[in-house]
Amino acid sequence: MKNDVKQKFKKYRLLYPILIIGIIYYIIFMYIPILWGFIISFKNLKVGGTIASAPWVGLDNYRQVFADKEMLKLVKNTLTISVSRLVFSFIPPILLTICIFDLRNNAFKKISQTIVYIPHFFSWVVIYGIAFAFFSGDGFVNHVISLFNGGKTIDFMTSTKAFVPLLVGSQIWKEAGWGTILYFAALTSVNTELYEAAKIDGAGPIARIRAVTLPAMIPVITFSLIMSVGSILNNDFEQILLFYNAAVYDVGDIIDTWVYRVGLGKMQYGIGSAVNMMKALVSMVLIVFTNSFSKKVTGRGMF
Amino acid sequence: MKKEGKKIKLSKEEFIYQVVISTVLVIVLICCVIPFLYVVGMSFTSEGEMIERNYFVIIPKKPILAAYSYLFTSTGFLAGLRVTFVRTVLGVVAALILSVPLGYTLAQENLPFKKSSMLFFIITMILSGGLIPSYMLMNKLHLLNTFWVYIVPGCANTYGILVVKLFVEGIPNDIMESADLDGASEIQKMIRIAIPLLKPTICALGLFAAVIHWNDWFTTMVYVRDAKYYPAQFIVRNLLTQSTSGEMMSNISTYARMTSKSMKMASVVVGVVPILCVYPFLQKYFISGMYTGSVKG
Repeated sequence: MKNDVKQKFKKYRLLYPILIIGIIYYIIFMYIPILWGFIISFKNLKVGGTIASAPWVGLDNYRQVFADKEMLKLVKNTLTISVSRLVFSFIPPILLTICIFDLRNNAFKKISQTIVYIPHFFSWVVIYGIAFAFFSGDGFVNHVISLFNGGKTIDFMTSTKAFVPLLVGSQIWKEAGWGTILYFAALTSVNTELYEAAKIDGAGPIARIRAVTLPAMIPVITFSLIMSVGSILNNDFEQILLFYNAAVYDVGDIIDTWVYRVGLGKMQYGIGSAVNMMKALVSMVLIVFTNSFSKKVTGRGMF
Repeated sequence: MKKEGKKIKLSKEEFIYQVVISTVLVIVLICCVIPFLYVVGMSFTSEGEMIERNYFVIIPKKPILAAYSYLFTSTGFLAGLRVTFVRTVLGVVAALILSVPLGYTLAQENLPFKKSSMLFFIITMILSGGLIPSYMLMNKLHLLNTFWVYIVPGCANTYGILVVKLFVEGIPNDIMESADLDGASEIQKMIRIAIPLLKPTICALGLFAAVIHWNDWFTTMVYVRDAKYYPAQFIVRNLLTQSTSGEMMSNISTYARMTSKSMKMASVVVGVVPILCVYPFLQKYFISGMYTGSVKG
């Protein structure tokens, strides 16, 4: 038995250096930040101080977080934004997949696929620029509106009411097309005989979608639904950081933006780390739980 | 898939259905394309024409290049493009240099400590230290305010490790065994057999890394103060968020003069055009890469 292990080590002796370099790299760049974040959340770290020299304060940072009314707002905003995202951006890729998949004209099908994928490759900066061109006070949409209501304009970019719809809308614009790929992958594995049979049975397009297409997509739909519930605390931070401004902090400030603006920007390292730690732990539990749930229900998971 | 090419007469129901989905798709495509065209149009519109047409211009009658010449001469945009280009190339290398050998190593069936090593890497996908400790780490490693802050942390590509591992596991055993008989070492097997077989996968991983680097502005916002390391996207972001665009040439006719908006739009256009140019050639790699991820992530 011992010999066996020795043999294996010998067989892979050239690969171990690779593994060790990888592990060292990951310890430095991934695990040390986790450890530091954990330690700082129990310390009172001042600007210019070091992690080692900062005094321990026990659970003080966490107590402050719970006492702060601001936090409730952050959690509320985080959940409002991600739940709206989940609800509104979930269906469009499914409908889009069915529309493109059922097209008879092959050229049109190819062109549609090519074009709907493109916005995925635009950066959030670019998407913000486009949103700005359309929704700012003198943007496209306002020019159209002002034709009807006598020149009154609304600056959607600084309106608290428009903020969440803008986020969700721009995300749908960017990602709905790309989201179809996952579903197309599921549909290419459908047995063609099922479609033949549906035709022979005289099934119309709606019946066909209900009997063949949708059932083929259901496992993937379930999978992505479960996974998006698991990552409900992880909003698209970059997008919000671009779209939000002081006028919409009330609805737009989420946990991540707060950690960035106050924790890092105003150097409240202790409290920032405490907030981040709690968020990271809750979201880890959520992801692990939903992942194993998904494996049980659909037979697939992220890892 | 349905039978293509055969001209079968469509039932009335099917015909209506085709009309409906075609219409929906045409609307979707218009929604995809029009915003971009509007931005392009704006970037060529002069102040004079804006005023003349009551600030509502989709296709300018007399397009001008003032916004672009301002962008390329007075905003450091060219230098930004250079930073972006270099970091994209090096960033792709960084994203592959650890993940491919690690993926290959972790795919070895009998590797001792395989399970625990996998766990070690996967944990970092669901737990991270967050911004504050990362900032301190970059400070400690003297990466703050340097070009290398874009590259060095990018070697951590756990998704890449998983994908490569999955594909190496899919290589038929007899290919590897025959290499063993020829006396090839594990490293030789990786370089001569696995990597050539994995070319499409590696291309896809490299392309995804390239897009991330091309589009990244956030790393700069957190870690870089020095303007000479600003990538193009960060400059675009700065131009978009500042309220006025600084001094504009004032003593020329308004029909040759750009507005701050057209300058902003020009920066957006320049931010995406390179991606639009390479996308058609690389589309199949992107899609195959995405399929890979979806077959079993």
